Amino acid sequence: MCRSATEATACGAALTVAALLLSGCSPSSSTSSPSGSDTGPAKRGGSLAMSLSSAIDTWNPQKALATQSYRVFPQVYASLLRSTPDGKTLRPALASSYKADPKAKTLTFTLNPDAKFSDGKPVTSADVKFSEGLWSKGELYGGYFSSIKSVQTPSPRTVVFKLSKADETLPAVLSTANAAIFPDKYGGRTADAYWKKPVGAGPFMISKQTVGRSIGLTRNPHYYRSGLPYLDGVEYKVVADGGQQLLQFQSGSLDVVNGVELEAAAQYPKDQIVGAPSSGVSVLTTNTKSGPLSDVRLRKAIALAIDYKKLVAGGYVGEASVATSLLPQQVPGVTKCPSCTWSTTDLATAKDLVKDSDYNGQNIELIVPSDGGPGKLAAQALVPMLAEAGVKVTVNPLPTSSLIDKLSKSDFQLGVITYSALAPTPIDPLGFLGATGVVFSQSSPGPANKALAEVHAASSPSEVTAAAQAFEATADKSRAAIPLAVPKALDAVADRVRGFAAAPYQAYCADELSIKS
Amino acid sequence: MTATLKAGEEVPRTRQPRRRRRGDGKLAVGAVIVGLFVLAAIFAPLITSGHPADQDLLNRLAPPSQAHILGTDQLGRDEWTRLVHAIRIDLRVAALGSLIPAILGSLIGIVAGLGNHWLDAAIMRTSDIVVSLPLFVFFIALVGLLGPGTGFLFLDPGELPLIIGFTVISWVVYARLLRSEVRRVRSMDYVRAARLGGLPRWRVITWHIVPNAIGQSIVYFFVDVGLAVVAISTLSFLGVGIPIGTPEWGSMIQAGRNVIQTNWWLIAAPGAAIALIGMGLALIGDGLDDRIKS
Repeated sequence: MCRSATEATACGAALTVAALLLSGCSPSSSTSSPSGSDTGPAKRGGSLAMSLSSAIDTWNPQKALATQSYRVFPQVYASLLRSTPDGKTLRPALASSYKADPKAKTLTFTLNPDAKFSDGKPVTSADVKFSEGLWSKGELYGGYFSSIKSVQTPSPRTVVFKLSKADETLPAVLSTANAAIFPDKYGGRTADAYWKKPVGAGPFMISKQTVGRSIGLTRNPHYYRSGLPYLDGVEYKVVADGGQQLLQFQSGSLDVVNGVELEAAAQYPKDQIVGAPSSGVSVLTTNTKSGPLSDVRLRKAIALAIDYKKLVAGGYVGEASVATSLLPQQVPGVTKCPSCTWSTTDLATAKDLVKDSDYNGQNIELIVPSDGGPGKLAAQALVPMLAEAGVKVTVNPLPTSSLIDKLSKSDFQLGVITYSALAPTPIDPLGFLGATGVVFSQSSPGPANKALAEVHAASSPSEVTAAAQAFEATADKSRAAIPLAVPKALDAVADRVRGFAAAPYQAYCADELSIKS
Repeated sequence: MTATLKAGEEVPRTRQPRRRRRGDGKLAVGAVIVGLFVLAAIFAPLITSGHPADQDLLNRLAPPSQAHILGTDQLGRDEWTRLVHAIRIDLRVAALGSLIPAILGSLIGIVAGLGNHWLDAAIMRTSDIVVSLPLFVFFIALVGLLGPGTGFLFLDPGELPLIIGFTVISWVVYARLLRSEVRRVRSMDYVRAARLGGLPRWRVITWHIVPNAIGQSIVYFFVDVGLAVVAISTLSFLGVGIPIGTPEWGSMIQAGRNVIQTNWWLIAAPGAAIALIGMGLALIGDGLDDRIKS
């Protein structure tokens, strides 16, 4: 579903979540506020300003890589289902209910009669069928929907997904922005025109956008959740610099800083920082097809030269933990594989491997995002560690857009990026790793895709874990991408904001946010 | 009353106390400031502890202490060590980034000042084009195009593109200065007299025109070095030029911004260094200018 390069995000669905699905699912009415208490009814009105560390890369969820995009999508788009901010429970959204029939391999959704797009047109089964066509064709995330064989529309309010195999993970996948519902045939517009200013069924609609700078959203008067959103509007401001985010937050220009830079976290008042266990993982990715890192011995040497504990303490300013897997270890089903040697340090062996490799001492460029994310400091911390093993590295920070461009064109040698899961299931990270050739390293996506198929077909959590571990074992051997750390997901929330809840899976819907009276 | 000198008799010299000339004070203060920086750069390994890239990740953001007189930065690197080693980079790039365009621009200016109308016009219109380039956009584009490179001779990665950038931009000032001075000097009576006296053209130029026209360029050179230090720091602050992690004042300020409220000295120290070196160089330039004018 989703992920990105500087901070990439992944989404998917969990078997554990699927089991909780829609049981007694009424819209949740309260979420926690980080500071202070305001127990009265939520006040309607007002607007909030939130930061994005980089501009969204597209309005099309099937093409989006940047995590920042997935922070905005839930405000504009709605899906058949939605998840709670902690990602553990699914709730009804555009679909008021659904029924799974494993024997018939069908998933039948009944649409909410109040579900309307922001232009007032009702959401119908034709819209769902059209949207599914877009999901399945998505180059990046189409694989998540591979179990959907066809979509039937027996009535305007009923949608039947015919599946090629029983897929218990699919409902959770359908709760993410990658499964957003769009108007049939783009509401009569061309695809290009639609993606410039899309119409969705989310709590807000786009009122203005200044490319690369800000996005203004106003309340969707036709939102399917009665009485919501509380806010009249939300303004997203692109503030790439951590220092600027802090200053704007302190001056009141920003009410919410999404993804506080770890370096700057200590500068914020503690009671205004909301943290959640992160579903992300920072990885050191390599170009396995050209240059010195095509030599697996050098890649292994680099992995062994890193002092992971020191890296976490310094490069991630102590606001992270050592990564024990390439898949986000916060995701249920992901555990450290017994044979893997991730996060092992052995400098002597690293030096030997460097000598044995074809590496001739040339300088290796390490690219990192310059506008957000924890990579810049971590990359600098890596330089002396690798130098000690005999590998010369220089750091080149790049704006996220340039970084993604270089990664996707394999115009790089080394890179530090952080990607995240958007839902508590290995489906999304596996899909992302497969779609990106294991985070752009150009290594074979085969093992990731195989594991993805196995997770789709899994009938028990142990099968999910086994599939994930098998993938980890393969990735451990190739060292195309080396997991470094699991950085904390931190947000800063002003005292006047009510209803903000930590979202470990990055994306949250702002429909329940309000301003304290 | 008149006095006549006999053959072989020397004019008696009256001993006059050395008179302070205008600009001496500024020159002295500037020279002391710049001299201290240069000495610090030369003896950097003796007055600092360790290498500027040495990290102590478990002792990050330490406050000033006896072990670390300016504390440590986000990666546990000694701030004083980085501050002093940064002088080498900043002054080296700034000096070369001013010296090369000074030589190049002066030569071009002399040619324009002495050349015919068409040559002069061609050079001046070229300089107009260069002047119209937006400085920082040009640098960002140039550095992006050339990349940091791997170093060149005694230059470290990232330094050569900056020096090239300064050369492309800064020669214009020297060329214009020299052109106008040469045109002024060449019409002076003593130059005409030298020509009429039959001195060869090259000798008139090298003995009489250039020495009397070069003064303002020398004054500007010192100011230019100071401006170059500020420009290098600004570019590094923006993430352009000197590779990240290299001890450089601008990048040190950039890195310190995220902890400005708890470790303000990480910004104050390199900021003060930039201000001091800039002031020292400006004082030297100002002092020289006063001397020339007096």
